Amino acid sequence: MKGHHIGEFEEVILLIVAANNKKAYGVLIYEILDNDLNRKVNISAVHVVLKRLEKKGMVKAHVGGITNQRGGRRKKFYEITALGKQLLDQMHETRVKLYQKIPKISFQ
Amino acid sequence: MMQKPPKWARRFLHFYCKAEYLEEIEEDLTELFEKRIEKNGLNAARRQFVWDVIRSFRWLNIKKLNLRIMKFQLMRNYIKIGGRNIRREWKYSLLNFSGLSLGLAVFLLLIFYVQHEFSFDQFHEHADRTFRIIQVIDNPQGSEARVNTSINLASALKEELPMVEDAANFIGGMPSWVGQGEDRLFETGFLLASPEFFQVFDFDIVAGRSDYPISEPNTMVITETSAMRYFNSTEVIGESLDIERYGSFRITAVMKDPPKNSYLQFNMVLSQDMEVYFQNAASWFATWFESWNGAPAKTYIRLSDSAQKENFEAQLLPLLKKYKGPDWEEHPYYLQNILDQHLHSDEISGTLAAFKKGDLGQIRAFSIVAVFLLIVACFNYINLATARATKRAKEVGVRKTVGAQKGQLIAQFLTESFLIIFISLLGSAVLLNILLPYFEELTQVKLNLDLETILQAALFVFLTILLMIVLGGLYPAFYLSKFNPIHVLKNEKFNIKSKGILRHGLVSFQFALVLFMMIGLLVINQQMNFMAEKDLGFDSDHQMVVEVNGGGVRQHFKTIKEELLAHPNISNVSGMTRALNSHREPRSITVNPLGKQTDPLSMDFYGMDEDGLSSLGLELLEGRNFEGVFSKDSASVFLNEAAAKILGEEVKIGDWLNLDDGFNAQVIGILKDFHYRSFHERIGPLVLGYLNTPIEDIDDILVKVKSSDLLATVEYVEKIHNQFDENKVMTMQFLDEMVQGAYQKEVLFRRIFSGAVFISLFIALLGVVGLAAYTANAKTKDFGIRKVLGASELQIMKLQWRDYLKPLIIALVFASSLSWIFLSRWLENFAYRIELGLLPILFSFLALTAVTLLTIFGVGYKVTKENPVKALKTE
Repeated sequence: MKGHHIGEFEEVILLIVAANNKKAYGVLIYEILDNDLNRKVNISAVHVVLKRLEKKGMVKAHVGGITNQRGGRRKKFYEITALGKQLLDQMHETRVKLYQKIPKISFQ
Repeated sequence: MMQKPPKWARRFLHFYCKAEYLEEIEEDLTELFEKRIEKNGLNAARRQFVWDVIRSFRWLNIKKLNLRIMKFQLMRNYIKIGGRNIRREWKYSLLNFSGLSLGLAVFLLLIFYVQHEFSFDQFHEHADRTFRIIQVIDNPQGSEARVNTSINLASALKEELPMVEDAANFIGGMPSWVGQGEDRLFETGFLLASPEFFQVFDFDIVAGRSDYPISEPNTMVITETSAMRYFNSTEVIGESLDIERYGSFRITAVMKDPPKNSYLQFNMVLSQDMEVYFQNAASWFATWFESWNGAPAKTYIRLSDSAQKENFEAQLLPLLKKYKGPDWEEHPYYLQNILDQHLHSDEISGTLAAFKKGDLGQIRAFSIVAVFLLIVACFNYINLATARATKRAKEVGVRKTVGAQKGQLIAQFLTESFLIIFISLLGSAVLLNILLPYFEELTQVKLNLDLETILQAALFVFLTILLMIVLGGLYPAFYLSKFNPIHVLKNEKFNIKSKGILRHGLVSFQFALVLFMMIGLLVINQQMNFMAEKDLGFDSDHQMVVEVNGGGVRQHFKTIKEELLAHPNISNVSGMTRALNSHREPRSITVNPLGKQTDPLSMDFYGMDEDGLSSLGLELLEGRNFEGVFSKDSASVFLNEAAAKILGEEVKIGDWLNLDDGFNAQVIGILKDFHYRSFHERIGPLVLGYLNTPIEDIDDILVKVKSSDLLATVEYVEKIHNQFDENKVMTMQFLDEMVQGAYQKEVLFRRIFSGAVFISLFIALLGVVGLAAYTANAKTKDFGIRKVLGASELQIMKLQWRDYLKPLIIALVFASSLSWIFLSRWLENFAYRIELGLLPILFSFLALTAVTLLTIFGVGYKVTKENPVKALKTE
């Protein structure tokens, strides 16, 4: 796994893609960031991160079918790759491990 | 219909975005846009869409240009060489940059201003087919176009003519005290409109009922600013406001303030409920107001898509005839597009304070000045570039020898021009930011330079730069690339003389433009001073004009007058129906000599009490003053000379006139003519009656004060006034300031224009500095030899000056003839004007010559003084 480092924002987006596997696309991710996580970003930032993750092989995209609802344009949906999932698992594991080592601290 | 994001933003996205990413980005942005319309409204969504497109402009998304390596490397070389040249000759570069930046900044500023003036009312969605109805009425002084129509016209049009999609009307509200209970503010900007008002006009309603908000009786829409003013909050739906003279109105919606570029400016729109008003008005008023022959309303219509304006105009007259009855004297009506209201309403009378009139002539003048400035700046660049051509000649020779094509050299020099102009553009952006606040203060116009406007202007700026490159860069590029490498490299003298003609031509042209503007400025100044000093025919100094806003003051005027006169610093007090020469036009009445069958004449009317003549210092040529006895005075009038002349021999002192079809008055005196209107207009026929007549009542109190301890006197007047005023607020002005107020347009024009003239003079002088420095440098040896042979320093200086005398003379010829034509036309705007003389031309010429020669002297002094040995040793 060496060399596969991702930043915090990339991790968040990767998590969102994983949580909405095969249904995730730009606006959906943007809205989750905006509403659920209360992170104000521009949509273009989401696009850039998706491209970067795709390049690193963490996610892959497929083009969705044409729906009448959206004026016949096609949407690009993202799904997580095995590599991406592996990275997420590993990061989670490291975190939990470290977290469990926290002694009981009491704050006065 | 589905709302679309701004087309230009989408085009920009298509322009820069890589094809593989385009679909995804566009899709997502569109989806967000559609969601935001519901959440934030259309305008916000459009703004956010634009912002998203700009934010998506990232390296990752941008199309990669397919440049051939070869070309690209050459381009890099061109830029590098250009940069080096800029740095090596930084003094010239600085001259170039400051001239171009300044010229471009002021050019853009003026253009933004012009753009603002032309953008009026475009925000109405169907502006192109929305019109207002104008009627043309004949009166003895000629025909007059008026905006006022019958209150019934709008609904009749909508019902009977299928081509009329919608129609609305409104009337201006009388300035009133507005508020809740005792807590009141004086409100001057409100309209009483028919329910369709918000259907015909697109004013943004931000809260409350958006369709037909004023369809129920006694309802109103308030602007955000006014809501803050009255309630300190914008959540005011359901609240009520009491409006003096009109009754109580309930707020059903809150709207955004009318945009700065709206012809209609108002603070609130009320439903057209006039019952309360009618109760307090004269008995005939309600009948007149509601009849077809009355004309209180401004009527606006929106025609259907397919309708023709001419078609409508043809159908209007039969309809009017039907309603106005067979006795109606037919006169023409026409439609004015609402896009023309702001700039093309000079001929139309019956205006409201709510109308924002612009001045087309002024805008034309500013556009011309803007282009002049840019030309002067670009010519500087051409002159400096060609003058220094010899320095670049060797480089051109070498490049040609190693195989450069002429086209490539042109490309190189154009690149350099572009580089310089681009840097100047950055400089001008900085300057623009510095100048903008001053400019806005000067013009009282808020230029909406937000991101969107600037981006929309980007194309224009781009075209300007292109124009500048063509104007400033093309000639030097062709000129420089023409050199014959053999001559250049063999260090032969090549023909410098040929370019002298062009340079002289350009300098002459620059001087002519600057001189033209200087002469203009002087003449404008002369005319303004003339108006400031010309005798008005009445005394406007130290006259307080106290407005009568309430019934209490009106009723107790006699008591107020007595109490005011008790103050030692108040020498005279008189009541007037309205102040002379103010922004409020005098009332127009019909006059008919009694017992004689003539057509009624239209004349102006003012009323004043028996102290008015002495207070204003009006001169009585014949007859006597009022007697101070109401029963006699109220049926007595004065005529001015102009009126006496029109009425002719038949009317003498003691004769009776029938005024305004209702009341008879006896002529008791003739007054010497005085300027009761601005100097734009001739003195018209005037009837001056007593203060209280059936025609008009007191509306202003004129208080003549002494100059000592003015503040205390004003406070005293205020104290007395407030004892009788229901609202305890006094509004006043000084008469001389009101008189000057008629020339605001000219004052504004003079300010902007003088700024532009000085800047263009400055830029032209920058060019002179550059050229003079170059010549002085190039001719060092020449001067050295002359000095050795015995030439004096003055003679050397004369040699340097000689180059500029011819351009100055040529400029004089062109500028004087041009300015003569333009300025005599400008002066025709004034009924009272100065004679155009030679003095301004002579003075401008001498001033320009003096500063030019001084500048050259400053630049060339060092070379002139220098020891010739030094100059000759250099070889």
